[in-house]
Amino acid sequence: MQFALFFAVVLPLSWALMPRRLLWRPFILAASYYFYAAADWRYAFLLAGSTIVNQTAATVIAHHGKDKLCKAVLIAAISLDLGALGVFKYLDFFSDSVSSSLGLSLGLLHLVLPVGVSFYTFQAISYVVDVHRRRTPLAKPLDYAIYASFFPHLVAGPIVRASEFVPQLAGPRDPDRVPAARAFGLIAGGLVKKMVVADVIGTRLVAPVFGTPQAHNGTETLLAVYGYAVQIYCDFSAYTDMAVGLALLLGFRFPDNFDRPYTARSLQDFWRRWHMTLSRWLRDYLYIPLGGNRGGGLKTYRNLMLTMLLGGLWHGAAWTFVVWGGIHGAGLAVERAWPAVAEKLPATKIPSAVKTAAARLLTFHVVCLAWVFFRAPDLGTAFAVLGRLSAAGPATGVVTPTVLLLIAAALAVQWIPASVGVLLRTAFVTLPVYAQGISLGVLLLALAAVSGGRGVAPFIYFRF
Amino acid sequence: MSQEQEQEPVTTARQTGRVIRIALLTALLLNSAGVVRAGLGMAPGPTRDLLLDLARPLNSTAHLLDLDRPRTSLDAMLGHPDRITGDGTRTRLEQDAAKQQPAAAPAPRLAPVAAAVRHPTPGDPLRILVTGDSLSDFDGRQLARLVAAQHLPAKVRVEARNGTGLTQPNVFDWSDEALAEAADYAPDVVVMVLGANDGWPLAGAAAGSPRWVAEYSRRVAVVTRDFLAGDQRRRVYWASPPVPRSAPWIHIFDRIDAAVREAVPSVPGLRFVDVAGPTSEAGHYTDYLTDADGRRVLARQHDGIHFSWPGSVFPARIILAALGREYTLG
Repeated sequence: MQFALFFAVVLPLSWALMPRRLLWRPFILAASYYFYAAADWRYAFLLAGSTIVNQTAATVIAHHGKDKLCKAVLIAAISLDLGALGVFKYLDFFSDSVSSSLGLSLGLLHLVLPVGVSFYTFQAISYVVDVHRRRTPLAKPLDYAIYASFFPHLVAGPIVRASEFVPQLAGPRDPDRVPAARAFGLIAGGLVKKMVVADVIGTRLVAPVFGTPQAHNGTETLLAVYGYAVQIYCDFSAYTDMAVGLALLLGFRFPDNFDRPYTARSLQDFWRRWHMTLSRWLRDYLYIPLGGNRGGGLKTYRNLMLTMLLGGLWHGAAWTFVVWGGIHGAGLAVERAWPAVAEKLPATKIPSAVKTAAARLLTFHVVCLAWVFFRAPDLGTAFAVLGRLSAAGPATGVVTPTVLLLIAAALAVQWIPASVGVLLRTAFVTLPVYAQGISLGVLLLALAAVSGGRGVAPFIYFRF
Repeated sequence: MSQEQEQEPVTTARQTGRVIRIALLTALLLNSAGVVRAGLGMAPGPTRDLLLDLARPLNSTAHLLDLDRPRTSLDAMLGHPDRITGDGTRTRLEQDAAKQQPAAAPAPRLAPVAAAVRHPTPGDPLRILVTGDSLSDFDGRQLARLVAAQHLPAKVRVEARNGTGLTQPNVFDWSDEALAEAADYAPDVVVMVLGANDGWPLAGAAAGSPRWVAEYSRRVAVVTRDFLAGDQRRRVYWASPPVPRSAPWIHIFDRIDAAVREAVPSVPGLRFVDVAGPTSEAGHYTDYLTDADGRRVLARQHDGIHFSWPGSVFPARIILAALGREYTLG
C-alpha cells in the first residue's frame, strides 16, 4: 500500500521533470533513497557509503590507466564491497559455526541484513571491474549514485550493468512512446504469479511438507517438490517482472531475468533462462576470471564447480546452499564431459524429439532435486524429504485440486510462445482508456480477495 | 533488450498515467474497507494519516452506494470469513467480553473446571492446532516433527498468521479467526503463540500499562472462548512469547506474559505455557541454548524476538511436555 502511494506520486513527477535533467536526476535519486530509507533509514548510509567508495575507486582507476595503483584500488574496492557483504551476511554465521565446533558462546553482532545489499554490491563490483577493463566509461557521480540506488531494482534485482543503465540517464525519453502494455502486463502478471500461485502453493503444500516431511507420503512429497519449483519461480520472477514493469513506466529498460526456465534442455540452458542477470554476472566476474574453459577439461570442471558453489554461498552461509550449488556445478561439469563420452557409445536410433523430451525431463528433475536443498532449513530436512519420496501412507489432504491446478497451469504456461503475450498486450492497449483502468482495478480487487486480507508473504529473494 | 520489447505497442505517458489513476480509483472504491484496514495496520506517521484521511470518507460513501458488494461476494465465494471492518465499527474483539460468548456455548466460563479431555488413540489421534503470529510458525512445525518422530498419536496443523496480534483487531480480528479455525479444524487442542506485533496501545492505554494488561487479558479470554466454542473437552494452551533481546519488547512481552496468566483462572480450558522462563538465562535474553546432548544451539534469530529454526525445538519440547501432563500421548 505504501509503495502504491509512493509510486503514484513519483511516476507523474518523474515524467514532468524529465525534460529538465538538472531537476530530474536529483529527483530520481531522492526518490530512490526515500524508498530505501523507508525500510530502515540507517542502511541508507551503507548504500551511500558503498556508492562513494566505488565511485571514488572507479574515478582513480579511470584516471590512472592500467598501472599498479589501479589494480590495488580495484582490489581494495572489491575487498571493501565483499567485506561489507561478509560482515552483514556471514559474520554471525561464522561466529556461530566456531561456537558450535569449539563449544563456545561467541558474541553475535545481531546485524539485520540490509535489504538488497547482495544485489547492489554485485552491481558495484561489476561497475568498478568494467571501468578497469575499459568496458564502461566512468559515470558522472550523480549518474552512478542513481544507478546504484534506483528503486525498482534495488531490493532484488535484476542485476543491471552500468553500461546498460547509465546511458539511459543521458536524455529524456519520448513521452509519446511508453511501452505501457508490456509494463502493465509484467506488473499484473507478477502480481498474479506471486499472490495467486506462489503464495497459495507455498502455504498450502510446500510449507507443510517441508515442515514435517515424516507426516507425508510419497505422492504428497513429490508434488511438494514440484510445487516448490513452481513457487520459487513464480515468486522470484514475479518480483523482477514487476521491477522491469515499473522501470518501463518510468522510461527505463532493464534486461530480462527469466525466460521460461523449466523448458530448458540442459542445465547450461537452464542458467541461460533462470536469474539471467546473476548467471551472466557469475560468468563474467567469477567463472571467466577463474580461467573459464581455458586450460582443459579438468580446470573447466573445477571452475564450473567453484562458480556454482560460490553462487550457492551467495544465497547464504548454509550447507544446504552449498549442496544446491554443488548439484548445479556437478551437473554442468557432467554436461561438458558428456559429448566426449557419448561419442564412444554405440549409435542409437532414438528420435531427436524423444531425446529432447528426455533431456528436458531430466533437467527439470535435477533442478528440482537441487531445489529440495535450497528450500530445506537444514540438510537433515532435505534428506528427510528425499527419503519420503517413496514412502507409503495415507494422504493428509495438503494436495487439493486448487494446488494441483496451479502447479499444472504454472508449468504449462511456460510452453506458451512469448508472441502470444505480445498479442494479448496489444489487444489490451487498443481498449478504451477507461476499460483498461477499470479492468486493472478489478484485477487488484480480485487479488486482494484471494489474499483474504492476510497480506502477502515476503518475496523469497528479499532475504538474499 | 529482447526483440520482444522492440515489438511492443507504445502509448503516451499521459495516457499511461490516466490508466493507472483509473485502476487505483477503481480498486480503492471497490475495496475501500480493505484500504482502511491496510492503513490501520501501517506504522503511525503522515503516510498512514493521509491514507486514512482519504480512505475513511471514501469507505463510508462506497458502503452507502453498495460498492463493497463485489469484495464481500468474492470473499464469500472464496470461503473467506468477513473480516473487513471499517474503523467506524467495533470489531468483535473490541466489544464487551460478555457479548463474545458464542450462542451455542452453555456458559462454559461459569463452570469451575472444564470437562475431562479426550485421550487419543492411534486410530483417533489428538488434533492439535498451532496458531498465532509468526512466532507460532517454527514452534508449530517443530512440534509436528517431534510428534511424528516419536510416533505419538497426534496430528499437528500449523496456521501462522504473520503480523497479527490482539492489539489491532481492525487489522486482524483474532476473535473471528478463532471461531473460523475452531469450526474449520475442530481441534482437540489449540496451541496459541502470540505477541510479536502487540506493541500498540489498547483502548487508550499505553502498551504495558496496568490498564493495557487488563484489556489484553480480557482479549485473551475472549479469543480463548471463541476457540473453545462451547466444547468443554477442548483446551487452549497459550504459550508466552520468549524473552526478547531489547526494549521496549522486554517490558511488553513480560506484560503479555502477565496478562495471559491473569486470564487463566477466568476461563476453564485455558492453560498457560511458560516458554519465556526455560528459554532464557535466569530471565534474561540469550542467543544460545543447550540441548539435551549438551550442544550449544544458536536459538534465536537476528531480530532478537523469534526463535531460529533449530532453536524452535526448545519451545516445541516445552509445549509437548505441557500437553503430556494432561493427555496420554506416550
